[in-house]
Amino acid sequence: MKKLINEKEHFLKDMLDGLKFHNGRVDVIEDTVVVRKHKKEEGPALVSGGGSGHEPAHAGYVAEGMLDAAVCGEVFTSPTPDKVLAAIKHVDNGDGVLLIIKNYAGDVMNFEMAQEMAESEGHKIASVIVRDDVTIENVEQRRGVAGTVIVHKYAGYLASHNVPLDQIKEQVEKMMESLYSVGMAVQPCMVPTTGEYGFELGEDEMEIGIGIHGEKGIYREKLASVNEIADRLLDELFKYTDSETLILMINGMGGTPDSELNIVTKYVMESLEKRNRKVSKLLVGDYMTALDMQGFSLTVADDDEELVKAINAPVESKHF
Amino acid sequence: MDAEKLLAQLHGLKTVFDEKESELTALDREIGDGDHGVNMKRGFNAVDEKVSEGSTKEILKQTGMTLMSSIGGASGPLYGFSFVKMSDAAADEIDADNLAQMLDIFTETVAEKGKVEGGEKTMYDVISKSAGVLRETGGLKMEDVQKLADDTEDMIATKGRAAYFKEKSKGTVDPGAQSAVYIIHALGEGVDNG
Repeated sequence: MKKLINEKEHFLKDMLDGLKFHNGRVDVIEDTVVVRKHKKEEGPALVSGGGSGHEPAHAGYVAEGMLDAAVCGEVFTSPTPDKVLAAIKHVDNGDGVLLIIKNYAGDVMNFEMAQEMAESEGHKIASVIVRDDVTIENVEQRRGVAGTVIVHKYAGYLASHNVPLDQIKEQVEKMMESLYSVGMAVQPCMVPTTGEYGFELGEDEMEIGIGIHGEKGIYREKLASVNEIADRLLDELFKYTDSETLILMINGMGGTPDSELNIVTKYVMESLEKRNRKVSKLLVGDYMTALDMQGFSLTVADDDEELVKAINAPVESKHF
Repeated sequence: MDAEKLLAQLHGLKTVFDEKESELTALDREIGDGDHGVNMKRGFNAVDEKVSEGSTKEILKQTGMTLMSSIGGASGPLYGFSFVKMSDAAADEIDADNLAQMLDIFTETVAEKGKVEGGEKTMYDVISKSAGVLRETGGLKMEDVQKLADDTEDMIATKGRAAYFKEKSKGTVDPGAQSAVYIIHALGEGVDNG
């Protein structure tokens, strides 16, 4: 498999070294922690992160109005507690730190360990766990996927208005009650650590219910037309939400061209119109990817004036 | 097993995980995301590089801290924290009884941190039964420990990433159970050879 990767062991370092050249607003500390150069002086600070391979998440969202730090793990592997702790110590200005964690066993364990260590050193920490992927039936096991980026933006907006830490946690958790995602792939991603595709997929097959780590989907189905796929995914989402007006994110998985994402957008919007559902805010682009996976995910949240305002608020990140 | 022998056994795991990387990766591709082999290799390469001296307690603790800061994922904190906890119980000369005590602590730590119990198709299925094997047979023979991992093949995962696949997780040995085999066998081998 041909890839623009040198030594697979240097994937993370090489990627972050490159990032520094074109994103003058961030620094990299402790090898793998991306922080804002202009440290926020007041208001709660936001720390997120996870395995790498989801670019622009999470480092691309380290910007005024969104995250204060992103802790980058190896590809698809949670970062370690010492690095999360280093991020917390760097960003805490005394108003506390919110950890935004995607619901994976590794991420939860490593971030919670860091939280315990930070609290014992006197930091005020709160955490929220994103679990927006509806294809996992058991709610406790649901994975955190593209909806995490909406959480970043909403929490970032609240933090920049100096809303206190506990209140941010409360408001974000309330918003997450109506945050649902579902994803699909027509091609798996090549995982650099193994040099192999995450799974095999036949010419006439697609995966429904993919995660963001190159793992298989929950259902393997016969490839369908774009409008049928749009209907299929929306059917999944509308098992959970009956809201008439929605905030919608159409997220590319990393290897999907803009042209195809626009085609997807057309058929998703047509399907919504047939269902008499309105969209108050539409986001289309690569927000939370799985390396070069070809496919897309849909994320919806109930329409809410403050949330739309938060999403529309200016942010230094070029990825949102 | 004195400190020197313990260190040799732990350093030996570097070679084991270098060799078994592709085996663990293949298992993890089936029911996970395919990185367990690479992560374990990185962890024990770091142990080989960074842990070089001390008492049995110090060696186990440093091994735990090194694993915790190098493996990542869920395996990192589970193995790492377990080694740190086991260090409390280690005698200067670890015999079979002492190792069985350490394995009890290993079991408790993984249960507590991983919120896991037996039969969930995880590393816990190997770790939790290994103290029993040691107490019954006086050692930790590869075939006996391997059987514990093989038993996970027919289980349906309810914890870890394999749990997303529910019934489809059947038919593959759990990669975490397989990596636990190598760690536990290495510790047992140290006791066997005095």
